[in-house]
Amino acid sequence: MNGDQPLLQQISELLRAARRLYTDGGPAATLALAVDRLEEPLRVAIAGRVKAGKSTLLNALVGQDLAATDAGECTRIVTWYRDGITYQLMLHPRSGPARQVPFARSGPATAIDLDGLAPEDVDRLVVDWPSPALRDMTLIDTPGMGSMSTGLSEHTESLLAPEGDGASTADAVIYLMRHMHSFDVRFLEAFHDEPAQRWPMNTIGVLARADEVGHARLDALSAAHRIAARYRDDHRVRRLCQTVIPVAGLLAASGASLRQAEYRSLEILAAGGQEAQRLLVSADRFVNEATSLEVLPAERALLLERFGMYGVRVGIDLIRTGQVTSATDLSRQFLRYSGLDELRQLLANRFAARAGVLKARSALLTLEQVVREFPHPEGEALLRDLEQFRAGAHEFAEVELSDRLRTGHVSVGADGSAERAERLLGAEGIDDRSRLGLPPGASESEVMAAVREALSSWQRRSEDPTAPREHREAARVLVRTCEGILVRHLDGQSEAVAPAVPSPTSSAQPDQHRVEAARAPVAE
Amino acid sequence: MSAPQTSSTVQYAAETLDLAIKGSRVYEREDLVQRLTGARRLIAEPAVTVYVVGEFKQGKSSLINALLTAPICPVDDDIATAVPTEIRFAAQPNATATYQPDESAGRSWIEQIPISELGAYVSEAGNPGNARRLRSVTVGLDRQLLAGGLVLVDTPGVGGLGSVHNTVTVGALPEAHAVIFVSDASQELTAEEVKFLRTAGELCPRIIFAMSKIDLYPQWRRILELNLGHLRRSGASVEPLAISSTLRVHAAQAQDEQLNDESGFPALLSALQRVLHDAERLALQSLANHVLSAVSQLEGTVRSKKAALEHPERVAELTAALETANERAERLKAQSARWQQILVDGFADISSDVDFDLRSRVRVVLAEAEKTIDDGDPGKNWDEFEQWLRQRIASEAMDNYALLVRSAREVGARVAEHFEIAEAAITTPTDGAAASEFVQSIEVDSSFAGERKRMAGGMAGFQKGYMGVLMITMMGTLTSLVIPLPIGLAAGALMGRAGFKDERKRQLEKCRSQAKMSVRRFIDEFNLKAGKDSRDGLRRLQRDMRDGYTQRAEELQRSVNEALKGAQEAVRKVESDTKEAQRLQTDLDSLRMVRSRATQLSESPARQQPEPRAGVIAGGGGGGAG
Repeated sequence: MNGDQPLLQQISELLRAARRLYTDGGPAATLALAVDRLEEPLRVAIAGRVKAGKSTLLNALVGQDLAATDAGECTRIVTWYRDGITYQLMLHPRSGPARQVPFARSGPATAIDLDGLAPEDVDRLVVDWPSPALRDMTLIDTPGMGSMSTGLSEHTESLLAPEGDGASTADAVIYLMRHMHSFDVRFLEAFHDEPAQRWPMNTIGVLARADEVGHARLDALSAAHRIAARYRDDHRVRRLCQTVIPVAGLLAASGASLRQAEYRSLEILAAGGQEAQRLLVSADRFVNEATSLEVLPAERALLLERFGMYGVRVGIDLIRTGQVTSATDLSRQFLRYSGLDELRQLLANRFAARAGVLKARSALLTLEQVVREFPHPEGEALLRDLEQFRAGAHEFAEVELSDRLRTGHVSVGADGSAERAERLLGAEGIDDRSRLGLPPGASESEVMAAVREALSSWQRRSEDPTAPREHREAARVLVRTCEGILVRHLDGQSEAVAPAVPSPTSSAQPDQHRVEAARAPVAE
Repeated sequence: MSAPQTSSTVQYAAETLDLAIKGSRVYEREDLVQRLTGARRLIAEPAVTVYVVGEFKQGKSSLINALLTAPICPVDDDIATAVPTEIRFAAQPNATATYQPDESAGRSWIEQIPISELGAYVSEAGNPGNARRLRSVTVGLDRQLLAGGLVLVDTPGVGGLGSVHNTVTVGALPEAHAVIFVSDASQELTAEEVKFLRTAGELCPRIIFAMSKIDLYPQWRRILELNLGHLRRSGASVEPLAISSTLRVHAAQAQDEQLNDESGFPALLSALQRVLHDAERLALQSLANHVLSAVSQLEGTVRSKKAALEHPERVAELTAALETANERAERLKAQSARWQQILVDGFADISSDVDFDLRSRVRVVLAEAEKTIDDGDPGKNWDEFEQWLRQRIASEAMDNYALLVRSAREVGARVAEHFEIAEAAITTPTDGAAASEFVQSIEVDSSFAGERKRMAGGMAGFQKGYMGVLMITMMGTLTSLVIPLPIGLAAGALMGRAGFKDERKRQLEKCRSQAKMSVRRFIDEFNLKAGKDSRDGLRRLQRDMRDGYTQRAEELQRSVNEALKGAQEAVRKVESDTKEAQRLQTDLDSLRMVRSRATQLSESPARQQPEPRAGVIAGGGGGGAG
């Protein structure tokens, strides 16, 4: 179903080869898990410091209150949320077999009965939850780093460290950060658990709780956007994640499920004039103050809990100024303000579209780790195959090059062409038009013109004898990418209208593979 | 007098002090005159320093603005305070900037700046990364709140609580009267914050925890409760408050009394009032003790003279007792005195403990650093690694510093205790009941070694700011030391593309071992320099303490001597001189009057105000006492 079948096929063949070598014990189990994993959706971990709003964001992404949220520190166990046929909750203890535990009556978003285990003794919880939002990726909620409860933080770190237990690591990470100063060492701390192994490619940074940055004023989000933009430009952030966007998680989670009654309450408050302004001074007043407006204290408390001070203020302002006239409108506006749509789009463009590569890479890591950790007489040959596979797959070369461009370890020349190169490698989406920097509706001939120009430009660079070797090597990868695009469009299998989000069934990738396979011997 | 507002008590204290000085002058005790004149500083220039600290963007500047109900400190959603800003009283509003000393010239310099342009100096917008190299900015305002000598210091939260930047602030905490720690209600305290609060609590006994932004978070009571739980478990002793600067500003605009109450600022202000009050009380007590001590010493002389005049038959007994006392005082001064030994041994122990502590802490950091290097590729993240390393060391140095301050205080207390025992032995001779009456009245200044204020007043007298300086030199060392870039690191980065895995691995190994080597070199250097700094600081502290006590012993001896001389003189004038006796009686009467004034001073303020709430350590680090 994915566009990267050949890649996944190759890696699964390698995995099968490895399983023939390791028939029992730990390595066999690890490999079995790795094989299964290739079939599963991409695993995306939501990580960040304590109270960054990870569970809230997860609920917003799924569109349901799955993960429990609370004012205090709440998530204490790594919890997987995956699409399933039925609702099921599995508890995996640190030692001993996994067992099924019952959901609390009101759903998963409440305290889960740990079957007598302390949170420290639980490796993870796995929630199966039929939901279209989980179909393409399994979301993993993590306890925050920097927690007062030691032990929980470490647990999260091992999850994010690709060198940890290969089978349970995430393929990609949404990293939530609060507003923090760039001088702060902890600013990047969470990425730091495994600095050498972290690929910016599979990490998206989110400036979380964006609505609180500007003290919940109506223009709070523009401050958040400014800050996110500054983070994006920080060279240290650049080499750790693809981009940083502000997301107001609470607004996103509650906005999607805005009820008619809530809209009514906000409407009354919007019509309340001075009286409403008096309530909006503080959270305490909003909830407790006696007022002539017909919104009960309990309703007000719920509004505040669900939308936060910012959500309430913005909602009232939008209604008062006539910018929204219905609950649906307001819900849509909330989602727009929250930045969730942008995040979804990023996830689709950057993660889902590259799921094959990301998964193949995870599998490759597991495999290498097993072979190295449990040496086998025939392991050498397998390692050689792995090396060959790694070097041969153009997707890997692309991902690696774009990571190296971002981390600044490789350059393609000084004239600002790095940006073009990153785009060509899929930094802004991996459909051909995005790669070429063309608008989604660009015509076929425009695509051809752009790709020809890019091709010849990179070709010149790759053959420039005066350029450093690393430039030439990087240019060679880019030439192959251009050729891939070119061939796709020459074959006439072009996408008539390139969708903004490439469909996972796009047949572009296999073609690219075929072409590359054909020209590979010539290149070297 | 620079004190803008003088309470009647302070006025009274100043007059009492003048009387005592006059008396000392009459009896030609320049030593006492000097001491008493020095003590005037306690009330003439009150400066009650309160540091406002906390993480980045918790609302420290907003809190100060809301306290003053004036937008003094620049506040912005994104841009932070970069330079410590001191706000104190001035009749004419003004602002001065103190620059860091030039690396070559070595002296800091000061410039007047317009208050309206404060933002250009203290905020990151106008002064990114402190490019202007400012050490601090001082703002003088004619606000009622500051009139009692309150000095508020806004500190940059930049870089986090454990950072090198912040540790310099921490160095000043032993001299601060109180700390307002700000953390917002959006979440519980983090592990770093709790750790910081614990360390800060060791350095400054009065910590006010202000949980800010309660207007935004309906759940703030829960958060406060959770925070109190964390603080209780960590053993940090703080006064918790919940505040909202925004509400305070609204309240001021709308003249809304109720909203002002909701903002939590009245509670904060009364906490500050308590700090001020305690500081004044401490200053008055110290002053009264100085006066009492001087008066007692003078009285001893006068009384023995008078006694010898009136009862010539008991002079022999009296002289004998005084001679014994004199011998003991002599011994108290000698190097072999018990307190001297305790001082010397105590400081030797501190020096060794503190050194060992720092070394073992740094060793842990080294182990962590090496593990980090082994786990990663030092070529890729050297800059961050370096920053991390410095921060880790700074944070350990902070704890080490707390140990130093704590141990020095303990030794100071022990020395004081032994000095007192010895002193008691001098002033309570076993034989000669009549004689003891006079000798007993010769007291050593108890503000110096007094039971009640030993921790607060006594030690603060010795510290004289050395502690802060010590921390600053240590941090200076830390920042000035270069971590050598591992050789071949740049080459290692380029090697990444080299085809063969083995080759790459070899390169990485080489890079790692070089990185470790340079970390080791850096840490060795740090140990060497920081060790020297801290030993020097301790030595200075020890010398100061020794000089202080020696001076007191000399004073004591001199008093005993004067009494002795007085008695002997009186004996020589065989005929009883009624006029002389009368004069002595008058002197005694005036001295008694001064004594009662001083006693009143040292006791009365305590009656006015109840002790601060239980669970909070009283005393504010000594209002520049000593």
